[in-house]
Amino acid sequence: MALDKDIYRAFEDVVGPDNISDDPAILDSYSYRWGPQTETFGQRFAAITLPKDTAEVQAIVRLCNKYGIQFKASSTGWGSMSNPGGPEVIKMDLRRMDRIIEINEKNMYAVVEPYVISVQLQAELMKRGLNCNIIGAGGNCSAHPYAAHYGGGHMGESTSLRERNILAVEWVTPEGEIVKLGSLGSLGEWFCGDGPGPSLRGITVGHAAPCGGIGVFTKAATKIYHWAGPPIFPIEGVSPQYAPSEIPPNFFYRYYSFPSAKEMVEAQRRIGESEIAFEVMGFNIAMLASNMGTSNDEDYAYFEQFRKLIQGPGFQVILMGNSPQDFEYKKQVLEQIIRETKGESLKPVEDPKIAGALIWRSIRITASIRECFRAGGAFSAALGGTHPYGEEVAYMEAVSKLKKDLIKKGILRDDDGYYLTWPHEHGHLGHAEILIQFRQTPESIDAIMGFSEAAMKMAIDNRYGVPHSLSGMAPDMHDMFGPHASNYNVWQRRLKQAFDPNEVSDSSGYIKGKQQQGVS
Amino acid sequence: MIDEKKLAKIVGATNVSHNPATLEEYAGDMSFVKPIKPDYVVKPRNAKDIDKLVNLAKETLTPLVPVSSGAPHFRGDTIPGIGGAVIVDLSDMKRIIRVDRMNRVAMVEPGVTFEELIPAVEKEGLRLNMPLLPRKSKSVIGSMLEREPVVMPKYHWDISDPLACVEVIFGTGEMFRTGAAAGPGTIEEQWAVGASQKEAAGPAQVSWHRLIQGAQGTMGIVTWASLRCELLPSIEEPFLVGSSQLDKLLELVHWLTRLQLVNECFILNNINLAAIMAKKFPDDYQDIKDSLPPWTLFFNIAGYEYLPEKRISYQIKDTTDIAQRTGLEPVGAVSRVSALELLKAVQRPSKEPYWKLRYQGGCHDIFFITINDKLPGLISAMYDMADEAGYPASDMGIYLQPIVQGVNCHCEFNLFYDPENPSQSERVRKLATSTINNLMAKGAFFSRPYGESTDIIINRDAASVAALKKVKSILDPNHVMNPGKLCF
Ligand SMILES: Cc1cc2nc3c(=O)[nH]c(=O)nc-3n(C[C@H](O)[C@H](O)[C@H](O)COP(=O)(O)OP(=O)(O)OC[C@H]3O[C@@H](n4cnc5c(N)ncnc54)[C@H](O)[C@@H]3O)c2cc1C
Repeated sequence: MALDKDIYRAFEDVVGPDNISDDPAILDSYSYRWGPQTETFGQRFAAITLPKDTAEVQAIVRLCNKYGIQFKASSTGWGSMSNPGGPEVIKMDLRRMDRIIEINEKNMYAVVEPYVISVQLQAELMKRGLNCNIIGAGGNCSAHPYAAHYGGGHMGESTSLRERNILAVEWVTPEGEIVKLGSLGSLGEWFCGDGPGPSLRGITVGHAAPCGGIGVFTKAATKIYHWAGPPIFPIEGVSPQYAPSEIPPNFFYRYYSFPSAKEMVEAQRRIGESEIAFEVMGFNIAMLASNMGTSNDEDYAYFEQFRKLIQGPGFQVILMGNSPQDFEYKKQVLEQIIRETKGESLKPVEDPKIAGALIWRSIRITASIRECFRAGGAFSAALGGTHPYGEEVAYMEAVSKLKKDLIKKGILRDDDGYYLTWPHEHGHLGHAEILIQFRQTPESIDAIMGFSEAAMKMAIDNRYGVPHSLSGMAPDMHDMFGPHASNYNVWQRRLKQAFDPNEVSDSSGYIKGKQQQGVS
Repeated sequence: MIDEKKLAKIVGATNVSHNPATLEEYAGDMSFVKPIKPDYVVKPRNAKDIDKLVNLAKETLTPLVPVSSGAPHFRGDTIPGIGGAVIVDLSDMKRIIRVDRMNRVAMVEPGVTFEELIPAVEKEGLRLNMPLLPRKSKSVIGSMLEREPVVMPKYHWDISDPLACVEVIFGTGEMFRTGAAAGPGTIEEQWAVGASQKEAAGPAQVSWHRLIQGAQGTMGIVTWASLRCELLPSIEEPFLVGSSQLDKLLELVHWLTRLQLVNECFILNNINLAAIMAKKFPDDYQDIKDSLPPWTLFFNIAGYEYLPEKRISYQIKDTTDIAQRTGLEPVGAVSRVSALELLKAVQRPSKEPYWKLRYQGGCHDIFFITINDKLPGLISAMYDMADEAGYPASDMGIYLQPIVQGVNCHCEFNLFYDPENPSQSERVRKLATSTINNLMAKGAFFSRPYGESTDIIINRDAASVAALKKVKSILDPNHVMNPGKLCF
């Protein structure tokens, strides 16, 4: 819905005429959708704004409160959660806020604005012997810790996940206040996000990101980690036939498959406890093939080849040695664990050329588009919580039965129905996910909506926890889950009402201030 | 005043006290916070009692002060902020509810102390990441809720660690479970499907545990908490590195934590190390102190299930290489202090009497979070201020604890003094508040403010205070939970 002219002008006064638009072509480019919907373009924003700094963000938020208009901020806008929840929502595309404000090498943190992308931050860090968490959505996405869904990625074993990496934060609340968390508020320093007293980090993010529902996070500091690899990967070739020319010294790659999920999870647990892995990523072979193939044909050829070679579910491991002796030790322990858990290495990817390429892709996180979209143009997923063992695996086993049914019906791409589990923080936490790929047809969309609903219901009925999937999608799902989970919906709603009394921060990925009728 | 019968009906008559001597015990502590006598002390037996107590307090607008640890208390946070309060002493709630080896997590009630939990987790091959030598009566939950620093920075991924989930009765009288514990289902039902109440964040898009931590009991009363545990090493090799050059030690600490090579890792000045290691005061203490270099770094290398000897031996080589690059040498003993003896000491709570009280009978701590680069400036400023106030530098203990995997450092000045000596006490009291502004100006972040200096610290940032008050208005709208603390 077009903004009233005076209101449009008020926003224009904030950002300048070059940084606001309601041109339908521009609006459509912000309404592209990749999920289970038949229409490629969804709800349009009322206008797109490009604020350049915190002051402009604050001014826009204040105008939204004045005129009763909602806003949705996004960083790199990759997620469907950055789409509008209704016709009267203006977009704050934060692409002009693209500075790495600080890399503090000695104290291991980086401060970023929302449009710093992960590969950019990582490239700067690697030059300094450091690395960062990158979400599985890809290195092309924002490095800003709030621009995420659940915030985990392939390197979670050694780089944790976003909610736990956040330090100080600058937050423009839905009422237009600027709150500086932790040491930033007290001292103007970025090193700590908690206190004085209770940590306000708690109201800004949970086991999933707020997805636009609680204001705008204009700057944030995030923990960074040691990197023992090269400052720059030596790449040869031209896209898409490009890869590093070698495996960096003290790096090791393997893909292992196991007779059953039981052994696979046990191997992950032992690897975690022995603190040897830089990365343990629960790719199934379909995802592995997508990482390697440069075309659909190649992708399928790899998949068919690997399918014949594996015993069952599997994962890839990357070791990184901080010294030659550290590397040798880690390799020996890994070999022993794999022997004990009956793992088998997938031979074709032992080839140093292929392994080198996979190391690079799995650290720069270059393949998520291929993994998710190549087969059918669309994907969806059922996500568990953040426990690597026990209930997550039980949940995934149960959901994979639903997936296999849809595969049988020819609705989903046949990847043998596998799910992924992968650990964070050396197995203290982890993630489980079941990815489904499909073509967007009315028939498939119906089936997939049914699949998601059934997966959610299963999580409630069988006590599998509050899944990550729940957040960022439909806000009324919280009202379905909350009564089974400490009434958290009631509490989250109270926070929403207190911090966003005019409901201007678009809640389509959060919880609405007012409970919808008919939802218990 | 609240009706005693109503309290007795909830917790049983024997668990309510208004005996003047008992009330006196809770009226003050070792801090400089003004004593205020509570009306009653109650000892709930379980979560149901707590639920009823909070609901009664809500109806009668009675202030509740939750206390988990036993005396002596040091920070004034368990002294009632106003009159008419009821102390809710949770120290009798001592159930170790569960120890789960596979998921490396334990679940305990608030009265469980480190001394009680350590053997229980050890039986399962686990250990705790605990604060430096907590006093014998210190509650595990109390320590975690206070975000106390822990001695193994490598396993301290996030400042909220090792806390996982909690069950809490908010000031509204409603029960809530944080993180993975929220549900669906009862805790027992969750166990039955393999869940472990380990994930702290959530449920959904809020991390409630972060709002309960650091709150000094102002949001609600925790009835149990789960916590991360670490594996018990199969072998360990501790080291000491003495030096007069703090910057070199900090450089070494940076690499040890960055490469995650070591488990326990902290720096003590000679005063604190002597206070911890001395068996007889004052002679033994003085001898050790005089024989030590100004600073000593302690670290410990560990091997676990797989090839432990190999791991230890290459990690010793790697740490020695790094130390050499910084011109330092890790050794097994520095003067009369052996690394092994110190390791044994810090893997348990303090022996009695509490190490901070052994030297002079009293100790006031000034502590904050900072980053390594700022430490030398902060320490020298503190010495100057102590000097100006007439407090002898030779009595000031310093403890530097890398936290959050070396991203931050907890810095603690331990001002030992004789509480029976009024002029000494007054000097320390003044120093405790007069230093705050200057330290903040030099990069000290007081993330856990207590007592008299709270206002100076917390009022620095009006926007954060306003946000905290909004949270408070949701979780404890009637201000029954420990009123008068922080900005509430
Ligand atoms: C192929 C694929 C794989 C994915 N894998 C993962 C994964 O492994 N882990 C994971 O966590 N997610 C994953 N996602 C989900 C999600 O899309 C991304 O996490 C997220 O969108 C990252 O993209 P972005 O940085 O562009 O964020 P955006 O799309 O810009 O933002 C994501 C959400 O956060 C809000 N937001 C962004 N920036 C700000 C800000 N500065 N202030 C306030 N709100 C803000 C937005 O409104 C939006 O709701 C995946 C998505 C895809 C398409």
